[in-house]
Amino acid sequence: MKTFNRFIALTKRILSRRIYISILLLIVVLTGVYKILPEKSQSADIKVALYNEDSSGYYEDLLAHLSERNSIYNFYNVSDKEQLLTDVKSGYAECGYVIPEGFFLAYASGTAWNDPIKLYITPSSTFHSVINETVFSSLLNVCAEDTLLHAVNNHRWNKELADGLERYRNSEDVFTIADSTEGEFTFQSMVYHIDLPITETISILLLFAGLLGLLLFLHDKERKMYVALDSKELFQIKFLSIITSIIPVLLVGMVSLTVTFGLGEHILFALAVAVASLIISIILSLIIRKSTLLEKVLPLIMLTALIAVFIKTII
Amino acid sequence: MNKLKFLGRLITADLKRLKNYIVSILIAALIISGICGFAGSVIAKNVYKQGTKEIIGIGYYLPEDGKEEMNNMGITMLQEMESMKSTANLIQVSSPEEGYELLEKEEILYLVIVPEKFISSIMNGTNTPLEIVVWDNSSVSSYIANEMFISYAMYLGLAQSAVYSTIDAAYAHDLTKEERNQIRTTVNLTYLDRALNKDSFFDIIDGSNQGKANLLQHYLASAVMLSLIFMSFVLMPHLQGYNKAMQTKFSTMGIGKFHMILSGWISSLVALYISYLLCFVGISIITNSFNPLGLVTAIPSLMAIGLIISLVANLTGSLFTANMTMLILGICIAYVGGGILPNAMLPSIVQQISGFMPGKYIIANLATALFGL
Repeated sequence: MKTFNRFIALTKRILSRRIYISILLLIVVLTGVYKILPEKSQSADIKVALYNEDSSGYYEDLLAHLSERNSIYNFYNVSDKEQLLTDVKSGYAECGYVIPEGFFLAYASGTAWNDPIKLYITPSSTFHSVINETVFSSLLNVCAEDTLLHAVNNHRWNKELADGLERYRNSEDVFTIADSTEGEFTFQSMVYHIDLPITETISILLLFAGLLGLLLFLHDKERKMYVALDSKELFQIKFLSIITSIIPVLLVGMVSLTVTFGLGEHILFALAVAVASLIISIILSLIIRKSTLLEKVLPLIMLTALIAVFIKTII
Repeated sequence: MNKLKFLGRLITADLKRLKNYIVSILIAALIISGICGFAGSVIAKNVYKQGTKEIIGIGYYLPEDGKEEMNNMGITMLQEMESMKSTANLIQVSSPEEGYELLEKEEILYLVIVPEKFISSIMNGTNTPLEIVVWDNSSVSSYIANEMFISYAMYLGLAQSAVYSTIDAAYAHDLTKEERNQIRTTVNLTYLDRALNKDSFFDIIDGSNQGKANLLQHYLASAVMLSLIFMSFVLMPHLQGYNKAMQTKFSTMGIGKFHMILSGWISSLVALYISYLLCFVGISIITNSFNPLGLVTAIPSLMAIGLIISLVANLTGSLFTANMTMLILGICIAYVGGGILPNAMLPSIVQQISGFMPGKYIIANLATALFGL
């Protein structure tokens, strides 16, 4: 009965702390935000950014040819190079092409290696080598006439070469491959909730709650509140102090996880984190016996935990 | 005048008191910069997850038509194309039936059945049709492969058009057989060059490393910024070292909150400079480069961080609140400044406010100072 009364008293005390109330509110707000925010739809098409510095006028033909093709890639023009880099770096575009001044004519004459196209990718880009085939076949199509005239290099033949090229490329005499797919590919629109790190936040807060319980116990001990107790009872108070700090966060966290993800492994995970938090706090209480030291170390522990969770998320 | 004198004494006293914290500052700087530096390098390596894609199986059947050498040359050219190497796995089958079996087992997505004398039919313009069997023409993979095939066909069709047009012109101008062959070869080689030597017409640049500092330098600068901000965990007891009685005594001498913030700022700046020196030496050793100017150019960042620490120390009630405030503030400053995720990956609203927050400028300044950019 005495233990139960202590448990109730310590629970009441922790629930009267403003910082603790903020922790519980944070979980409720996160869950509310997750539920209230409208579902976001996003197309998963493969976007390719193009930026042109060439003034010969061929770029418009290239863009027109690329957009006329039944391409799986979505080519779009950007007005400045910074935008192209931002789109590639953020993952919005799979890759980005910067076409330098004078490229088209240099390509037709075969000297474009002097100042080639710059293809910007990131380690996440996977399709750039196949996208190259689409871009370069369109490029050759746009520059086909100049390429031929340059190769033959006989100005008196220019008109008949150009007419002949035009005639053949539109005829059935040359090699073509029929489209083996069925019309334009429509990427399935993905509808999803904004991914809030609710499980991670609850894990961090459970650890914080355990350490806060320990800190409050150390404060009370330094105020000589438990001076009459023997070591066994002192350990019981310490244990209760930590566990009463963890339980409300665990309960609110479990409700939050159920509302967010439904009943399942997330609940078991939260329970496991709560037990881990209890064990860590007990172990730390054996090493740290002064509240001032814990006040200094606690932010460092929280920082390490935050970094560990973040690294786990990105890896 | 007296007020200034007392302020001078307060600053001197604070700096003298700081001597007691030197060892703690050095140890904490080592630990915190170690944690933040490790995190920074891991994030730099992993923030752009290595992309994975499905390799498409493409089966092909080559007939025994006495032109095996030419057919194999064509296949080799195809295999050597970068797009084919990175996307497809070409599998030769001994008969169309074997190809159909592989299609059924879904081991290949496409089966290309090359007809007899296919290459020579392209050369002479009869263009015997190529049979391409697709198992599933609705998946992304099939669309990607389809687009690759259409692109290859476009190169071939354009080259044929150019060659035929040239031959027509050569006949019209009564060129000899030798001259016709020569001009045809020139045109052939030109188009072959455009189709096969694509690699020489573009440079691949890793966009994630674009900007003044590369990704690793950016994250190391961010780690140094965070280390300096979190040095507040050690500095707080020093900055909050005056109890209520002392503060009351100070106020009778005209020393108020503002003066205490000013004094705290100066001693924070000294402590941060010591910590920065440690990071500077560490990074100079790791990168094997030394930029002496960086010992001076980082001072604006140290002043900004010092001011934040001093403000938090003097405006919060307890050590615990001050430390937790610095923890949250440090993470917010780094996040908004692009120190946790690259600026381009942040939500657009955060990108917009980033310019009004100190993190972005502190990271840029520290990167310049540390790496001599």
